Amino acid sequence: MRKRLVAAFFSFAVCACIMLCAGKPAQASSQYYDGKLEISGFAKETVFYRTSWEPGESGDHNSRVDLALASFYFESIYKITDSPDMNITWFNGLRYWWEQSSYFDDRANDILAHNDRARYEHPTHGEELLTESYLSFTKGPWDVRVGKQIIIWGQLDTSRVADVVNPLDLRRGVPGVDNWEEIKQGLWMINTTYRSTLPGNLIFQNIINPGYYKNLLLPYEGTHWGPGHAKNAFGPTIDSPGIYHWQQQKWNADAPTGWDADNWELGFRVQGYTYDIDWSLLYWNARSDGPTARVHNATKYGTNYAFPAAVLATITGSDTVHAKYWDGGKAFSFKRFQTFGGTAQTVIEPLHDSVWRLEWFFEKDSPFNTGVKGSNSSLTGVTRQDILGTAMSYSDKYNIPWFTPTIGTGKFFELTLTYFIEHVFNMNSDIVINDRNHRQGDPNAQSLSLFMMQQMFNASWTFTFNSSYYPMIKKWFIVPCFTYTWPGEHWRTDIGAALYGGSNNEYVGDGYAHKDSILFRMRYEF
Amino acid sequence: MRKGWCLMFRLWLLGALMCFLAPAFAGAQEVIGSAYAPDELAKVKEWEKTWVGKKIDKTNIDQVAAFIPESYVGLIKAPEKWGAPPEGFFFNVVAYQPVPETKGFSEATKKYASTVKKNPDGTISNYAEIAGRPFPTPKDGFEAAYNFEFNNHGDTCKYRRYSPSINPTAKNDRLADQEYTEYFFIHRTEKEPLPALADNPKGMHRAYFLNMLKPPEFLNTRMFNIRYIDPKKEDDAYLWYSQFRRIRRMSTAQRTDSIDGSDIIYDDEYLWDGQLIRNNYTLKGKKDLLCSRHTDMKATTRVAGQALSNGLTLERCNTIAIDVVNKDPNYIYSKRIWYLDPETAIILWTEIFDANGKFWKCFMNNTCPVPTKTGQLKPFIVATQFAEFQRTHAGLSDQEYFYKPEVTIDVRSDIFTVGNLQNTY
Repeated sequence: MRKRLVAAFFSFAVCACIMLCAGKPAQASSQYYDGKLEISGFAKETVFYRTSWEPGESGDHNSRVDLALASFYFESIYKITDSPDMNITWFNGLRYWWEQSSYFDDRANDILAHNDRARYEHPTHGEELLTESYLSFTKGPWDVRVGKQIIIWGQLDTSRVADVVNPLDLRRGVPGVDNWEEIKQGLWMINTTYRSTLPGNLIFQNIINPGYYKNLLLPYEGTHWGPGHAKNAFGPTIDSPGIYHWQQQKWNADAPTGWDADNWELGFRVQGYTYDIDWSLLYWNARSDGPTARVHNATKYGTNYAFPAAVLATITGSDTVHAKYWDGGKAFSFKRFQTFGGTAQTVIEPLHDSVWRLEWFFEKDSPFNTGVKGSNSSLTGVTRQDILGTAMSYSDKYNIPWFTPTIGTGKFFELTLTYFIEHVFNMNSDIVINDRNHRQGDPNAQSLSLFMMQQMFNASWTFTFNSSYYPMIKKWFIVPCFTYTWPGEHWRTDIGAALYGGSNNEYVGDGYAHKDSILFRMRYEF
Repeated sequence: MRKGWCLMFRLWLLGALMCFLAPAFAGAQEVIGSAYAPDELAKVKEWEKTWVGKKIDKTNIDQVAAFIPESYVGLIKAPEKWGAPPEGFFFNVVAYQPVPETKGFSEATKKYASTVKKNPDGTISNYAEIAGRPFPTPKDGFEAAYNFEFNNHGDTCKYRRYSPSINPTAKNDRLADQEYTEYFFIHRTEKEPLPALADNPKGMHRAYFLNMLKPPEFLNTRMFNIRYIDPKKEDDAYLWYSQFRRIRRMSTAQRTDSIDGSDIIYDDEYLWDGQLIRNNYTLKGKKDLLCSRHTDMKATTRVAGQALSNGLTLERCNTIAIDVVNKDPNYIYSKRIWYLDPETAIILWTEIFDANGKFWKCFMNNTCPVPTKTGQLKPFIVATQFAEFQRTHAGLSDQEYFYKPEVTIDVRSDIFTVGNLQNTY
């Protein structure tokens, strides 16, 4: 019955999209109450159709649609006071999602731990619904925002080099494919900006988070973006969750989520304009979004609790045990460290009037685990390292003979190329750093990203190409996508592909190497 | 019959009242550079006896074809091709009326026109120190172009434009909606400080702030653009892209890139939106055209996919024809022909030719004297209609769709900053 209902919803959504795209010009306004209230948002259905599986994974699915996500986002800005002297606005962002693939796919439904399934399929508490809610007071050069906020400090489109404030929620999406509102977690804080008249038009920003913490949320085992169940389970045909699930459950249980004075975060940023360069410098002092294992406890948790629990779950067919019931204490900690960083951007006329952007960070005493030869399966301790990362981005537009006037109907081809390099000072060859695309013992990691965009036929079609290559570990991904903008103003359809490749060397897994998929997305924007 | 006379009498009475009240309202506004000499005007009045009040459509367009660009004659004669409703395309002929400039603009013209100093290359050396119409009787194309450039849009203005990108073949529109606020730092004539801001260390000429409202993915995306007095200096532009929540510096040099989905390029705003010295201007003489100079866009109609609004009111105007050729031999257009209103220095029509010299686009500005906040009437562009004839595509920018343009309003000169881009969200 449930399956039929979902299938009916899915069919209805597709039919509604087709019927409503008949070219009627919508006159709807997103402003109400004499412009005081402005509403926007979107509803979208995203489907990933898998074209490849990793070994053993096909047995965990009986449908190639391993992600069918309906997501909704609603944003409102209400101007409480709007005068030349003072503005007070109230901003709210609400989201909801409904993941339907486990309704199509009985096997995927079976292997997904029931706690994970509930959180994966839809929001389970109000906090997840509210992405942002803040009051903004603007008077003269001062702007004070109080409430739950998403703050973006970087200037690169999808990279987060200097963008360090909000933790990500990667359970259902990734940067570049989804909006920041969907993948960033808002934090409750006081954000004060002062726009000075000092030389360089300096803008000072201060962020105080009195103690609200959210950790990085990683995708669930057995889901589209998560690691495959077959690789993590204690037996490929066993439905109980695998080791990744147990580990992740403990991470989340140990995270100091919520309010606590120890969770304070503090940030400063100054922006300016000097010698035709827009620049910013920043400082951020916060707990790490991700965990560092307490080696002794983590090992105990694995051997004394998670493994027996998994065995028990295998026998009983139930996974009612939960990491939070383990009384052995915390296995993971979320350590504080400091980040210094900055951005700069300018237009260089002699270089085809291209736009150049630089972002950098310096992580002081960033916490890491150590393991035998850098392996995270044989941890030995905790260390702290200083890390410098720098990204340089080049953006340009090109008028291509014949193509631009004929296909682009006058719209230039746009290209952004970004090179990123990260260096670990005093490299300890045992540090576990493969999640940052380092080879074992190699202090440097690099990446090269390419973004291309071409609007075509009076922007009724848009082609985008997003790709990255990691030369140290020889991995890559490409995401070509065509978007059709339906007549009127609301409907968009995306058809694309997500393709992954590269080596599977000893210390860098190939988590995404077999996730090649066809992407289909229908969006209603308002 | 009696009803008809009654209506005529009421119209006459209204007209008479307007004649008395308009100067009082306008405060001695003057026409600068009349479109017609007295003998020419007499001939126009004679022609108007036949045509004023007539509805022009494909059945009689040939009879006035001499006063309409050839491309638009063809468009009106092919309504099916250009997405017209069943009744086809039509416009109404109205009588020519002189369009005065504001009192401030007229006074500035009197004060500064005689003080204009020219460099050997024809550029104005005291460009930033004067205001009004620098050349009330332009002797060449460059002088006429300067007259266009010195239009200050009332010192400040704000308008919201409803801009469908029109596909007549498929009979559909794709919508854009933007609010535009403009501020002139020099060439000011309406509000103190005149004629220029004393405190202008960056040497700004004018700046605009654009708030995008549609398409929805651009809602709350904002940008500002600064044009500098130095004609060799590129504009500065910054964009706050709401989806990425990032402030992006934009390259402003590639001004021939089309503006998303439309048939216009960045240089096409106001039918020319670049530094004057980038072109060569050749005065070709006069061209008497039917032009949109007293248009109420609210009285026009159109359906989705319709390339030209119906119900426009066009009047005769002896425009100044100027060939405009970009100095860059690789420029996207080989030539534009401006048809400049001699009274307002607004480009009323422009014909555009591609790099191979083949006719490509035609733009028509719909203008009207708009009341300013200081009680004057300022000739102002209330809409722009344009068609791309090589691919049968079109566009409209209707600046009266949401509200009438607000002219000579209070706008702070310090809103064109990166800080303000962040501030407004």
